[in-house]
Amino acid sequence: MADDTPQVTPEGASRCSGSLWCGAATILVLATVLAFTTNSLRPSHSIHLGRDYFNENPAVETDNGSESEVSGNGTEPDSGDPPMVEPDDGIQRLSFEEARDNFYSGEDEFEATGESIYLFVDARERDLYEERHIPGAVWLYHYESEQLIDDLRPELEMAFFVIVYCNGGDCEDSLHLAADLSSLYGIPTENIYVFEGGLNEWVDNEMPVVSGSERR
Amino acid sequence: MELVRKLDATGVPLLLARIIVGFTFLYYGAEKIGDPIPFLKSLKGYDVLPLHPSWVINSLAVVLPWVEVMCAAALLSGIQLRSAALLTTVMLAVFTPLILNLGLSLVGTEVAFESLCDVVADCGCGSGKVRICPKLASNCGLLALSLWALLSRATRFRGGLGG
Repeated sequence: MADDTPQVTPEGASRCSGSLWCGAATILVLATVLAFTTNSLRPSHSIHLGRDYFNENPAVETDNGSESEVSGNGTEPDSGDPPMVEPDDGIQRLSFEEARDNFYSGEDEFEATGESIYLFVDARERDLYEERHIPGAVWLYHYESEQLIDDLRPELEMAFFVIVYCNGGDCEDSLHLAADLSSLYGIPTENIYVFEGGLNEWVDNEMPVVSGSERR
Repeated sequence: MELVRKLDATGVPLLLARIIVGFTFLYYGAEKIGDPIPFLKSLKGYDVLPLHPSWVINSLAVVLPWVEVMCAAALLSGIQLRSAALLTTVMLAVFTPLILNLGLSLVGTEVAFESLCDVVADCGCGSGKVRICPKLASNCGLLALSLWALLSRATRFRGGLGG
């Protein structure tokens, strides 16, 4: 193994090319340079190194203006009364029945007025959204939300019930997006809900879905 | 041991190790580079890396796939062959127990997951959701081949694949 010891002298520099450890270090350095360069240049699917993608705690303004995490049973919304399912991390959950009732209320309102205070938000990848999504749902992929949020912000701010979902099961993207909507994008925490059963539970209950990039 | 030495001296096991490990790492590395987000989620799913500061896990998700591809290129070209074998051995030695741990943690979480070999999960290997048992077996095979490439004293098939 003595031959594998990295040499730092000019004489040893040429020997580094045959060294086990120098070779490994060279591969790691090259890979790192290539990785960060391509990550910074690619137009999509890039990872923002400083962003917390797994944010779980929404922040709200307290009475004295400072930010704090929501705790306890959350906050009752101003309009309507969608029941909440024992949130313990400050994120309000909706059961399937509650999501279904909100969906029908939203559809009725949309048919009558062309607008709705209920907004379903699909946190999944684009191809999954286009494969099938809840009618009326907007696409806001959690991992590219920084690029997508500006176009959707007016609707998100108008809605009283922003209902975020992903596939359900072990999918956590809806929870992370809900936390980001509150803490990063300033959507009022009390208006944000997560439908944890997600699209799988929605489909299992034979609820309507639509395909393609159009919302309805 | 003599038989192993003679077998090694033919260079054929080294060549096979380079081809199998090289193309496997090339394929899985390229898949992850194409879309690093599922790999980032899998890294989080292993529950061993700190989520804060976030640049640690984010950087690993960006860099590790490129390490895989660079190792694959080195194994297939013969340039820095042993160094690449060292890195693939380390990666497999780290990730295989993590996959086992992930599989064990999922046993009983769903009706279908009665035992380890029933568990289907995304291990972040670049192949989506897979059965954990075959994945562990394949990783152990790759680990053995990587070790062979690292420790082999064969002089044949050490350079470019044609030589």
